[in-house]
Amino acid sequence: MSEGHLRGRQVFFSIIKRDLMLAFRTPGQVVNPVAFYLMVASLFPLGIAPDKALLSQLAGGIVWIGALLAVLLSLDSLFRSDQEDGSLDQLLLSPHPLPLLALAKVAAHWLATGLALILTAPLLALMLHLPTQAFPALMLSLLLGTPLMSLVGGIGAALTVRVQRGGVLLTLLSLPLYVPVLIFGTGAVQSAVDGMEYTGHLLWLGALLMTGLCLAPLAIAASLRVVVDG
Amino acid sequence: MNWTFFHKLGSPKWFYHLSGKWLPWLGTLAALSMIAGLVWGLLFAPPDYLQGNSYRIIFLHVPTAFLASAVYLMMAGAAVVTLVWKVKLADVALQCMAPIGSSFCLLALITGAIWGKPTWGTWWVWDARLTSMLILLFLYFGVIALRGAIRSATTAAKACAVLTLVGVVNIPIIKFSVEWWNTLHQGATLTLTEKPAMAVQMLWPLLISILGFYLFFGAVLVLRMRIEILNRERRTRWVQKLVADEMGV
Amino acid sequence: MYFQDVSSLLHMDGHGLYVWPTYGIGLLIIAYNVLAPLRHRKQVISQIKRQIQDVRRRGVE
Repeated sequence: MSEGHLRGRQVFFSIIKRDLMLAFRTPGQVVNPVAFYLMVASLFPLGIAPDKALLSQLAGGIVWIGALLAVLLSLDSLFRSDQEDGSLDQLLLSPHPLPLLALAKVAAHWLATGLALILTAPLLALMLHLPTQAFPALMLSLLLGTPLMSLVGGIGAALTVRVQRGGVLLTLLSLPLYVPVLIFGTGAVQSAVDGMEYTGHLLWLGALLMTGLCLAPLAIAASLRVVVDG
Repeated sequence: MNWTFFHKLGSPKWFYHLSGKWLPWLGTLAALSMIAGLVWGLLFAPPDYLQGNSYRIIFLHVPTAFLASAVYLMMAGAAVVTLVWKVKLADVALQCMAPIGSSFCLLALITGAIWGKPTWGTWWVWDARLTSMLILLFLYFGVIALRGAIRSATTAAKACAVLTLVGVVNIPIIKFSVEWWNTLHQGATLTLTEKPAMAVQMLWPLLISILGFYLFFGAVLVLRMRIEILNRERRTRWVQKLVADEMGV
Repeated sequence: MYFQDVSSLLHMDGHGLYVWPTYGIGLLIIAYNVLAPLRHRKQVISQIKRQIQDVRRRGVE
């Protein structure tokens, strides 16, 4: 293993690099959430009606909820593979602060999945007839919301990492916490659709994201210590 | 300051014996106030000017709604004690409060929904209070589900404590965002659970009901905690002696 | 009592349909909160009793 004393920043980026390499080595990890996103969003016109007027009213909510569900589904992979091959224990033994390492893992997770979802969103918005003036609001709200969802979801992922088939439990734990993110995200899109100001909503999302960036890594680290050390 | 009292308080055995003496009184008091408040409200209080007799559901709805939120806050308190001071009894309290609190939350939702039908014409209305209460129910389910999913008792205790605290931090954020979402979509209409100034003949039974339900919560919590203590401490000598004495051998 | 007789008590000017089932459900949940722990208590006590009996039997043998 490495001889020299690594600084926190180097560890941070090396974890991100490692996780991204692993993620792209199994392309499913990146592609599946996007495919799921497309499919779930397509279910709505199929299940409700292909009526353009109706869809354009619902489009903001559908694109957002689809992204939320796709993030939830991909969260299981945040710690599970590390748990299975033992690197999670190594992570906990590291001299570097665990919240920093947790933040690195969440950042890698967002780069691998959240970012891909954001890039897919315009396609879905088009298919669901979202009015064009709402596109910037959609992209910005997702840009702020998806990392927040990765952060908050990371807490549930940490708590359930040792639970057999903990995927559903993870979604159960995370969904109530996602409600404010959803409300402000779709609020921004809806405001834009109505031609009104949406910066307020984005600022709220930003504030939540800042809080999440500060507190979620601490909660994730605490959860990991509780669950792994027992 | 006599700290021995606090140390004793954390001892399951001492708690078991002390609570055994007080539980009958607590239970009787709870039953009396609950019956008094509910019977008064149901049978003796005058009907509401606007809502007629359906408002009588308030004597069930308000106490249970109060308790649903209060119990979660108490759970958060117990969670802090569990994580910081590692008091086992605090975790017993945390485990036992969750099913009681969630049953009250469920009852608050059901009573709110049924009340909605004669008042607003629908079985469910997405107003801020009911929606927040629904999400609170989901938070309760999460803690209960996590407890059941983790095998090791000590791990489960700490994990549930962490989850409860994460939930309690989020509750104000959730409440705020739901209220804000609600005003966007419904405008400034009177919500289902908003209480206009109440006549004295309605306020008294309500207050007595609230007191009764809080006492009931206390009694049922102590009951559950005693049983959970027996369950967890079953290998200790005092529990074995207690059960053996009950066997009469 | 506000109500004149039992039938008006049950009917409550048409709202009885809502009030009484609500109180019924309330009663069920209150009962659950009392009965569930008692049933659990019986389970726990019987488990411990069985455990004591096993120990004694093994001690005798």
